[in-house]
Amino acid sequence: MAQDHQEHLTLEQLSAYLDGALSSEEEAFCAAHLPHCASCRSELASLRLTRDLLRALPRATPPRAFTLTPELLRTSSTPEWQESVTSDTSAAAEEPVALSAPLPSALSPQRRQLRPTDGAGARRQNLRRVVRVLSALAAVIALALLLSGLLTSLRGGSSSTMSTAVQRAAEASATPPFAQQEGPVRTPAAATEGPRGVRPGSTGTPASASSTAEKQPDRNLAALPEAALSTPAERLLLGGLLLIVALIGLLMTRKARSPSWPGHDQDEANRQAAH
Amino acid sequence: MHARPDADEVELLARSQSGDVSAFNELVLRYQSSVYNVALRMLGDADLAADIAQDTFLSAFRHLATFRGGTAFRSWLLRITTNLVYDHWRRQRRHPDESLEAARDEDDPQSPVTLAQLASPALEANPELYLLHQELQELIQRGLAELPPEQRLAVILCDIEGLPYEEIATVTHTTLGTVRSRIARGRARLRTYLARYQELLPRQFRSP
Repeated sequence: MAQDHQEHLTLEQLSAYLDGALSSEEEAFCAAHLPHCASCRSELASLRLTRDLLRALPRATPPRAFTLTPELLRTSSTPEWQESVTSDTSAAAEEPVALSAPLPSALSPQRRQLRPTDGAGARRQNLRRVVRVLSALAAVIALALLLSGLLTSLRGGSSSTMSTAVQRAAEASATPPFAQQEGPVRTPAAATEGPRGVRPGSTGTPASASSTAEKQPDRNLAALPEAALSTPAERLLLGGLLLIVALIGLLMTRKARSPSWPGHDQDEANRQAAH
Repeated sequence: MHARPDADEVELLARSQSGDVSAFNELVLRYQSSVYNVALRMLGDADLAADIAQDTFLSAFRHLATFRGGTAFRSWLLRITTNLVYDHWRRQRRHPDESLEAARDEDDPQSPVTLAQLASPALEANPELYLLHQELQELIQRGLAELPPEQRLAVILCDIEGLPYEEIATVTHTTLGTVRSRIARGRARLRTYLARYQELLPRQFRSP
């Protein structure tokens, strides 16, 4: 390349020379150099060819007039966007990329329909997020139910009568999944305390469990109607159902756009039932 | 050199700034070709370019109060256009799945400018340049798309819009030295790209 040798002209010089954009000094230097340097001449020629090709590109005629109509002026009033564009145009930013972004609604009305981010699309996204969170929550509760159901059926499932102590133990054993969520350190303690904490002083265990998990939503679990959860089989059943609902919710929100939201309603109903 | 600050334009601007839409629309008709072509060459998508052009003029009208006569009106407009183009890319980067979906709506996301859209007033003005065949036009557009955005913008403003370096510096908010370097590097890169397709170039454009 030309830059390799001190005496050669730089790419920038050659390019600017084409446009007559050099200072008179530089221009004279180039004019003096070129006749003696084949390499710089060929470099210049190739740059000129490139520029000529670009210049030969036909100009496109706009598909329509972009004159402003009263409708256009009325439809899109987007304060934030305006802010962004004005500050952009007057800001002394080196790179336009660094400038602040406008709202998606900045696009013309016809474009807006194509973009799911705007208006109804944004609302749907929010809804999807809510459903996802609810589904995840339902999945956690479902797993806790399944686990407690399994544990109780393994432990005391054979005995026909379920003492309240066993019930308490089962409830306490429901904590490990939540504890895992909060932090792994707590898990062993909760796990060992749960099943073994079958004490006649029945208030002891749940109290300690709740002290470790005040913010945890499993208080709902403790408040579940005892009748509904008195046997492990029912717990397993309810847990399984809840899990299925949760999975449906998660899958649907992953598939995204389909605006069918029965999972959402079911989730909502389930949560209400849980309270 | 600078876009002629003729008396007519000054008056149109003054009337526009006092809220006269019809005066502003005269300015729109005067500059819509530049705005649209810059957007089109930056984006390579005719529909999107039309939207950006429309938004440019809407935004310009709303912010005419902030326009100071110091710079050329065209530079100011083109700066809004390029900001909107960059905003579009940013949004695309932030929501890649959506832009993919939007792309699927259209037949060909990269659909370069079609020949029908390319009427040739420029060629009538320059009879020595004959019409580049469509394949070549698309090749050049693809080559432009390969350039880093700031080089692409500089090359488009210089070689397609024919702006002087000073005005390009105003539009891109950079120095003359930066403009010079971006144009040079952009051209060199485009040259390398086009050299791979020698057989498509008209004889007179082939490297010696």
